[in-house]
Amino acid sequence: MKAGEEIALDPASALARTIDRVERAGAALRGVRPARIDAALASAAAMLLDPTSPLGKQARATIPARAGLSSEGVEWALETTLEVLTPIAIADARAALEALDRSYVATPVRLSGIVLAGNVFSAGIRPIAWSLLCRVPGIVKVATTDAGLSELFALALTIADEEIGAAIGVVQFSRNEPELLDRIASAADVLSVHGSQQTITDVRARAPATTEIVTHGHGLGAVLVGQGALTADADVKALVASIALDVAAYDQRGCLSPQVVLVERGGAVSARELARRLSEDGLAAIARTMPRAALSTLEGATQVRWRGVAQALGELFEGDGWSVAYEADGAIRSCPLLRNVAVHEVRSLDDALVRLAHFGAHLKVLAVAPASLRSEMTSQLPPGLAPRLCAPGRMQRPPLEAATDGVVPWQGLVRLAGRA
Amino acid sequence: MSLGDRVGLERDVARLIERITRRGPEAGDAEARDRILADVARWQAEHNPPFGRLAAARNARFDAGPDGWPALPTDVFRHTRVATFPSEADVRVFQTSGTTSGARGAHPFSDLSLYDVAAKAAAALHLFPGDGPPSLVMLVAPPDEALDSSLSYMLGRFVEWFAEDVTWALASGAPDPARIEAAIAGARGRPVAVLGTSFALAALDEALDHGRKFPLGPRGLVMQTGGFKGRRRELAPDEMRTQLARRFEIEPSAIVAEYGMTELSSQLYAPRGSIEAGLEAYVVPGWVRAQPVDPVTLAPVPDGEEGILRLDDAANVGSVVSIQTADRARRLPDGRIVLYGRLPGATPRGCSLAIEEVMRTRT
Repeated sequence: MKAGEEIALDPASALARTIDRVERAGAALRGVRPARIDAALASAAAMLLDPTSPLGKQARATIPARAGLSSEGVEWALETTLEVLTPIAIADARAALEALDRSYVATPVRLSGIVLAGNVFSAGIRPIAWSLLCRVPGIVKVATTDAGLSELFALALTIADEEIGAAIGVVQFSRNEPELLDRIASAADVLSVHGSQQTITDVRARAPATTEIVTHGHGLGAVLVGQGALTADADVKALVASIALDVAAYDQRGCLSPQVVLVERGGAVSARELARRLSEDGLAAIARTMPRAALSTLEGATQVRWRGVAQALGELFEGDGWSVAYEADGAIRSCPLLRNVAVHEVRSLDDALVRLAHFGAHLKVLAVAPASLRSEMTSQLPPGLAPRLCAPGRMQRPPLEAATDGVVPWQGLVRLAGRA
Repeated sequence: MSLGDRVGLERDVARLIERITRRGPEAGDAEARDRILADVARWQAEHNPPFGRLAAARNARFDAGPDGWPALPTDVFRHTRVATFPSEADVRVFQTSGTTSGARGAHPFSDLSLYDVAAKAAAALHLFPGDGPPSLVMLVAPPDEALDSSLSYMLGRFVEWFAEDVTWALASGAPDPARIEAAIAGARGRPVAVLGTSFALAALDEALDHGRKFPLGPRGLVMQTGGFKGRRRELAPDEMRTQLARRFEIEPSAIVAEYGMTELSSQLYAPRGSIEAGLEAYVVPGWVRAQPVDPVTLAPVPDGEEGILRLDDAANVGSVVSIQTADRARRLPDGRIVLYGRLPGATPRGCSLAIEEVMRTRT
């Protein structure tokens, strides 16, 4: 079975054949020089990044409608997802991985399984890349609603280097066929599961005890703005543009998307003024270059309800395709996403940490400004809170080697033994 | 707060209700109602901070009829105080039941007299229209055990206004069949009315053998209210009516549905036989305006089309007169309202987790 081929007539046999083929390709993969893997990854990414290549064209023709994003939104997501697979970025990731070898003998596992949800179209690129970087063949299970990027990436890998591409098998079947997922879970040493808490719970319950489960559940992001970031006007302008980009990316539907901006009281620019500028300067500008996708009636109704509550609780700054609610020091409440974000004022950084602590492990990323505050926050996060700390504007652009959900990206892909 | 203004407004509303009640169940005076609604809304915009902010943000025009000002989303009751008076003046705070989204909405009252006028008038018109004092069986917690329940409060008042005797028939939260049987036996031929939540009535039915009956007598009736939140199985309205009619040995037309909300002071009833395509059709009392609106634009939809229900309740003087619900509804040409359940919140496609979901998984 080829990458991307749908399991149809005899799904169980077809899946077994794919697993067998990928495992055999794994034997060859383990003998390949790392530089060859790195080159294949960079080449595949470049193919997809090139809008004139056949695969690049296909990605741009098919993904927007399937992913529910504007074509500009898809383009941005493609560029920022694949930018981690430039030769330099791969070298950084490779260096982080090789640093392990100084203390341990790192041995690749036999087979990885990657279970993707159909909700964020670019989620498959990193786990596929890391499986190959660790010289582990992988079975990638995509959802029936998948937009197709993982499949195209696997195809690009095969074009770049057939032997390496053969080590990735993409299969697609419905969640109503759990027995097929059981087969992958039984064959794989590690299962990287992306999806809702329910999906993760279900997979955990069915997987054999010997299969390591690495989970990537749903989550959220937040922005923390300290007084120091609100002094010079030029800084505020850049800050507003950066936060707007974080909100607009993936129409705010990603687990790295900010749902709330906490602003420390006492800066030269008030939280309310920052909210106004985020709407009128930041999100208004980005709506022109990267418009939001059309909303369903239900999404529109949810958005209207949230905005009405925002107007009653505080102040709302809105435009055609975005809004910013300023709710002073009120309780943080759910936002409808889709470029609707709340700004709250906090008395102090301690106050901010208390509010953020409620999010626990679900807080995946925290953008902090200014940079000095980011360093300070590293040592001040309460137990259980392990978001990636980054600058505003970088929330959706983690480096390839960045820890995700509190674990290193090679988690489960290599087994470590002490050096003799 | 200008107490004099509020007293004057409440007096105007009470007079309107009294006038309508005198003229009968179909009576109404939309012009007078809308004039009072505008007076109350204008006053509330100055004395109720959340509504004032919403009205200002939406450039409310109180001289343009109810469509000229916005309705406060019911969600606001969960996040902030919605009242025209300070909390020290509270005599009662009704709370919504727990929802999937966690926090409960609160509706404070500094004076329940107008609430009483509205509740009594609507029930007199549509629930107990001159049949003589019944014997009441209540399938809700009694008011002294559920101080924050507007339903328990209202049913407690019904006892005083309409009944000769009452049996509170919940035991440890579940309907107690023995108490119901004793109440029917004790009525000695007087009509018996069983009033309760759809949830409790369905639970009662599920717990009993098919053969066990509670004959309410020729003028008996059942009032059901509310949905089936949290139940394993929801019942279709006509299925529910059939079950109730069989269990209580009454005609299906003797089942009255009530639609009330913690956030309101008035109730809508689907009186005997007010059914439209299998669903209850609720009569809107003349001091209430019920207008389905487009869920995205919030503009009124034409009669016959589905929207989400906006309710303007003149009796809500102490809080906010205009409420935007998420209940899907259609207005029939004769003004009755048919409800189709709650419009769900959209779950945008993606891996973002809602903040309230986070809070729920962590508690």
